[in-house]
Amino acid sequence: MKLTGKKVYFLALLLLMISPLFSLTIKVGSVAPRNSPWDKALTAISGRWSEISGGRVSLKIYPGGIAGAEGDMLRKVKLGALDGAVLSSMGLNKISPDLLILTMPLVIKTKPELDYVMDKIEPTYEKIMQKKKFKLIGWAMAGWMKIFSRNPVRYPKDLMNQKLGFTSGEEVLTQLLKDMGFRVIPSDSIDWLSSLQSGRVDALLISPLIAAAYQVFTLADNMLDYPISPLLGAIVLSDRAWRKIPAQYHDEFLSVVAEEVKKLDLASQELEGKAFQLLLDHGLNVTEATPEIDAAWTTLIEKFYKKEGIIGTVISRDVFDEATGYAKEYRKQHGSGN
Amino acid sequence: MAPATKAFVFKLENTIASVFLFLLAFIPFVEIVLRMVFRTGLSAGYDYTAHLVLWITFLGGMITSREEQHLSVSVGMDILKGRFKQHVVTLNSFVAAVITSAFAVSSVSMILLAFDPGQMTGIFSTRLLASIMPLGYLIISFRFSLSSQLSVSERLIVRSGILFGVILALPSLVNILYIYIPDLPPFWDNAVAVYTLVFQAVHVYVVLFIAVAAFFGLPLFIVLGGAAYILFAGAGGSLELIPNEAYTMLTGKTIAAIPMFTLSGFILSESKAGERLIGFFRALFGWVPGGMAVVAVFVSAFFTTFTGASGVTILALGGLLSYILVKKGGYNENFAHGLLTSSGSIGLLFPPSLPIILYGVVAQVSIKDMFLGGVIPGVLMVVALSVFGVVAAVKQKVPRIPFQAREVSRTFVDSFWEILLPFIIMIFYFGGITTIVETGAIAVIYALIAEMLIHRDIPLKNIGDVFIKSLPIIGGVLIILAASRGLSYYIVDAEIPMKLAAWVELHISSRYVFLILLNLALLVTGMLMDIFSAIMVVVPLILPLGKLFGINPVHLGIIFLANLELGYLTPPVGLNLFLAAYRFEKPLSKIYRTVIPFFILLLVAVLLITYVPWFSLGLLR
Repeated sequence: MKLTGKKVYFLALLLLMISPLFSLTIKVGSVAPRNSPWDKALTAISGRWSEISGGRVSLKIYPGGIAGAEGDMLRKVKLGALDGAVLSSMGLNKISPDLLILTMPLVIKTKPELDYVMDKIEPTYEKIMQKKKFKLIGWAMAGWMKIFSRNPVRYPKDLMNQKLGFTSGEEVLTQLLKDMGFRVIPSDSIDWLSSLQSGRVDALLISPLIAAAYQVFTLADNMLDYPISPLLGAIVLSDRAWRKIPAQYHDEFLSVVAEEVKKLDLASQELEGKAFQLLLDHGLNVTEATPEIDAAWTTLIEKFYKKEGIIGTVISRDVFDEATGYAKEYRKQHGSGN
Repeated sequence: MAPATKAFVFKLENTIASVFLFLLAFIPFVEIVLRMVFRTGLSAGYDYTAHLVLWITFLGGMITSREEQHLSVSVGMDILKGRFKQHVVTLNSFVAAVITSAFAVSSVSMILLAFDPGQMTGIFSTRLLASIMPLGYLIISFRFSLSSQLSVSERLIVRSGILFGVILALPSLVNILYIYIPDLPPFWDNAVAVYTLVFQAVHVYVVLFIAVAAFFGLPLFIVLGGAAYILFAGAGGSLELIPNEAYTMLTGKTIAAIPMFTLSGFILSESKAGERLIGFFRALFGWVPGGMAVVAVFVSAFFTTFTGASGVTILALGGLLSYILVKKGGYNENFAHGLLTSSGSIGLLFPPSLPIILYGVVAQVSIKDMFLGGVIPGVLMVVALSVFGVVAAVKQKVPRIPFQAREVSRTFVDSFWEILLPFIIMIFYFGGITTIVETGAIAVIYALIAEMLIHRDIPLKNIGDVFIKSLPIIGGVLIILAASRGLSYYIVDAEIPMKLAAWVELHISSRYVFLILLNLALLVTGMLMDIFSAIMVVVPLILPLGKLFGINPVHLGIIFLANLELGYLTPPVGLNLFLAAYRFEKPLSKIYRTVIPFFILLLVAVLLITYVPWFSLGLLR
């Protein structure tokens, strides 16, 4: 190829465009509203990354779902229109159903247990993500999923007699709940109030924060204070975007994320506490989980997990056993699960 | 193509599209029955209906192309003459072919990048389900060259546009090549670099060109989608975003309500339901001056309330109401079309309108307060249009008929099944028994039973024709919605609302100046964006500004929604105007003229709502 002046110019520009010397903006989408703890955490990460890299790397955050719902954001990450996203189980599911395991009912029961298991399972999850060309850079918890219902629910059989509303399009978890014997009705946040009103739905599996935001407590005014599963959020970048960040920053960037995520955990807990107080102020009836209640749920669900079904087909048995193994390990080290 | 082959292809398209349209109603219907009779519903039912909408859109879009019914603005064509006019027609067809062909290439790349080969939707491969997008765009692109307005040589020119489209989609093409040839020669990367440089330099001019072409008959979905495509090309962004946004829009959770309510409206309008209803309403209200106009406004408001202001009202009821007002009521046609077009989105402020709920959630305002806040402003708008209707009736000396109780009861029995339909919809939807999509399905199945089995107005052998007749409209509308979503996302990606907000914070200090600017900005927003995107994109930006200027968030929400309502009516690109042009089969320029007096009236209402907080907050205290 003869290099004419023009060609040299284009090549130089091309080099500039792909060169890491060029400042790099990582576009990250999130469904968390502007100024929510999640949004603030991302902003803080952006600021610190920029500081560490001398302004070369920063985040551009698209909060409040403006970059689309989780499935859509995930597609945008694959297309390169976004570089990363904050994903809950809904989006993680679409990367690999194995990433759902920690949010399956009663796999995890307490926060310290979650921290322990997350720490242990991370290499496995890393590998799963890598295979799908994603990079997991941080995890945080956004609350606990609990049962909100029109009539009090104590034992699994109480819930089995009620219609449980669950987000549509979340096929794996829906099937799992159906297989466990619950009567699951697809219901989206926008329909919750009218569905509860009409009796199309009697109960919802949501976190107190979401119950407060969507004001479902006016109709579903009973809550079983028993954590069914944690609500998790993962900050995920595309592998491509991660590799664009100069390797010299990788470790420092990750530790910054870990720090901010820890703060975020606390902020989320505080926010959930506030939401819970709001629910109590509005006359929420709280059913405490007694050891009998815990035993009834645990027996039902553990028995279910032993059977072949979704676990073993959609979700890998190995990864499931690994995760539950860590949880058992933790419980053994620290007394019972409760 | 040989005539026989052509007939076969057309028939095949019609049949597949009609069957899918039927399934779209049937699947949710089965889901409801299963839920009521058994304990659980269909597995993956939602995913199936979502992809049916995708197929119906593109099959419908292909049929719309075949019938040359793509919606466009052609006001500019009136000033052109002779050979020059013909050149403009050819140029537009060429541009349309180029852009849709580029969409097709980017759709292929989008499918390959965004969906894993093994990814399944229910029992189907997701890639297979999405493959209708490139196929549909390609066929649409080709069909621009078959336009009856073109000569043989012009057709060849237009056909070459398909090739130019592939070049326009160069970055997507290279993405596809990379998937199959990982060690692609550097030539291709260099080519993309050149492409980006070129578009960085010229994108503004190309977008301007498209904007001008918009007034000379370039189909609207190409104007919106094409502008977004060129803007992303200029920004070095992913061109696959355009098909991705279309996919997201068309597989959304509520979009299936649009084809279903449209279809149920068509079933009613193709039967004698219209005549029966008119008989009844005339008997009931014909003695009131302007009674029919008031009925039209109320029915529209009522219908919009549960269709979420997506313009469904005009599509589903426009034909019928226009018939009632003009043919039977004796109203002047321009007045009737203006009234119906502007009634097409009022009702948005009443419970249980989806946009209000969504606003409550996004803005973290009590949904109940929002509903209460919307009542007076909503009534204000309904009353304004109704009074206008009565005044016009008196002025136009619309004949009145005497009231006869026997006639009322006779026509009531006659039209009983049709009258029942809105109540069934109300009970199922307002009662929360079914979702909006399921309610649409019930409306279709109910209309089929009422008109085919009870009244036997539509014989079984003709039902296919009714479906086929609705398809160009359904396809034409959905493909525009899909394209407009691409432009919405460009606006998000370029952070235009954020920049605007930052500017306002810096430069505006008066509350009234802020409100005026807000009115203007929201009017434009309503013109350009669908309401759900607008809520998610714009609300988080205006909330802090509202706080800054001491505006109650409920009031702000009502201002926001009322303005968007008006935006739907605002020439040149308000959505209702297009839908009305479609439904009433009138050129857009004519619709613009008919709508102006109503627009001014509603503008006054919106200004009152904006500057007198009492309207929104009166019921809250």
